[in-house]
Amino acid sequence: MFRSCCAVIYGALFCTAAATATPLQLEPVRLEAGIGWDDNLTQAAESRSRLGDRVATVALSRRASLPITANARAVFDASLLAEKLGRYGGLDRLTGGLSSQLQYRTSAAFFAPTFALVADLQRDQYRSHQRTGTRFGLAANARQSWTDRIDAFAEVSWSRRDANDAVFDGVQRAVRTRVDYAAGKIGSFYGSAELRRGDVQSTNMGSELEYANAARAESADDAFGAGYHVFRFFGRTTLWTLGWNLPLGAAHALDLSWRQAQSWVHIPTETVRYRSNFVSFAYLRQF
Amino acid sequence: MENFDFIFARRRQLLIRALGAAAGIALPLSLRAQAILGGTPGPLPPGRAFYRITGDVTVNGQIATLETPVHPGDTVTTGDSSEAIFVVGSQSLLLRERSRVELESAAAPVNSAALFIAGLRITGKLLSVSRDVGQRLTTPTATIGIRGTGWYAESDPDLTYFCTCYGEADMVSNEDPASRETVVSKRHDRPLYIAREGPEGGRIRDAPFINHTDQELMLIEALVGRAPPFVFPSDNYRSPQRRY
Repeated sequence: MFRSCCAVIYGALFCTAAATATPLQLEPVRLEAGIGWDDNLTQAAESRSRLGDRVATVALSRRASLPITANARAVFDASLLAEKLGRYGGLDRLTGGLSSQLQYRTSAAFFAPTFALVADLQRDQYRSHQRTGTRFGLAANARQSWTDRIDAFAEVSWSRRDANDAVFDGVQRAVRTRVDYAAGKIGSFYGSAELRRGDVQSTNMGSELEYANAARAESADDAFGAGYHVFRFFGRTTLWTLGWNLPLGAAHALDLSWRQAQSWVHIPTETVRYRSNFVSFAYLRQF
Repeated sequence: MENFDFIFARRRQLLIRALGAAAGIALPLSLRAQAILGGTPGPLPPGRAFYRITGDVTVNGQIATLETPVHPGDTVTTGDSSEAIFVVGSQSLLLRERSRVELESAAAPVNSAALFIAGLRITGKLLSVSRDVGQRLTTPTATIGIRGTGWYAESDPDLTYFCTCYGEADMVSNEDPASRETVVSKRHDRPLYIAREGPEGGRIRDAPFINHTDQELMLIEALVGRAPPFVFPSDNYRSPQRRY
């Protein structure tokens, strides 16, 4: 179903591109190099199972857009991301992604909203064989300037992950909002909130019976060493992010962000809650 | 009876003072809220020229407030870390920090009721949009004929940067009349430098795109009830941000 929808959207966009015979407008290449700290990579509820680590990231991306009509355009994003962890090498990954959007803006007026339909395709190559796999996503979003300092964004999305091990398969539905605040010379601040429902994974030491009974899938985790078991549950996740982007001229910027994720999973005896924090500092450049 | 009148008079006075105090607090609060949360750009009320003033801005040497009028013949300047966004007639302007613009009036106004800027002399950085109005921009190194368009200029004693964001502009070097170019642009198609020094006929050269954005053009167009000729603002001209 997801693959079919992605294929239809990609096909429609490429056919439109071919039919309009307008050259693609390439945007600059974007480089992001960052370092971050995740305090709960395992997404574990119990402190003895919670493992944190340093995460170094390098990402390259490029966007191309294709005018379709005066008010509509197709936007294609290609990205390549490499992530290296300090201790838990099983989570090192190389990810390639393609994203297509069909955007519609009602007019050129300052407050005119922009609507988009999005299809994502992403291939993850982890050192952990279990996690390696493919992600598909579909989304509909809208963005609008509320004032000359505040921009707002809202999105509903559906995503699916097919991994080598069924414990890392999953489907999620999400709603997300984000607000950006331009603070002049000191850059911009942003905050986002997201609510997800669907499959969540949690890795714990040992294989407790209540977890095993409630889990949709279970497996020994190949990223954290012997004794760690990963479970897939149905649950609810909330994420919020606060960030600060400091421009250093037109082509460079620094970005500092803090993301907190909390998941709630119901098992027969209790509601289990995981919380993880991720703080990252990144240098961004376009050329 | 007199006592009642006296009491009512006192109450009326108190009420008027309270309302005055509330208005006195509310107006600065509203202005402060706008300064913090941002404004909603749209046509300005009649008689008002400034949309936003940041830092030190003067008109003809006098410190400007949002109520200060601006007319052809006036000179607007900005200090360090300052910016002024204002409207004169159907022309909208964004003057960046440490800049000065002289707004020249027409010798014989096309329409005496309209505010019409015939020419501009600038040092510093200025973004401007107008339509269907021919005018002359003068910098220390260049003279540029503008035919109702969106443009951005940075002017130093030895070098002028000029981007025809959209529309048409004719530029000529002040020191070398053989150095001249006409640019017709749909979207920042050919930014140029006009240098004081250089070979004859070669003082105008290609420049990179710098220091202005589509979002700013949309904002200043909105102040005069218009929109740029392109629908989607590009993020290329802003510093990079994490995509979402």
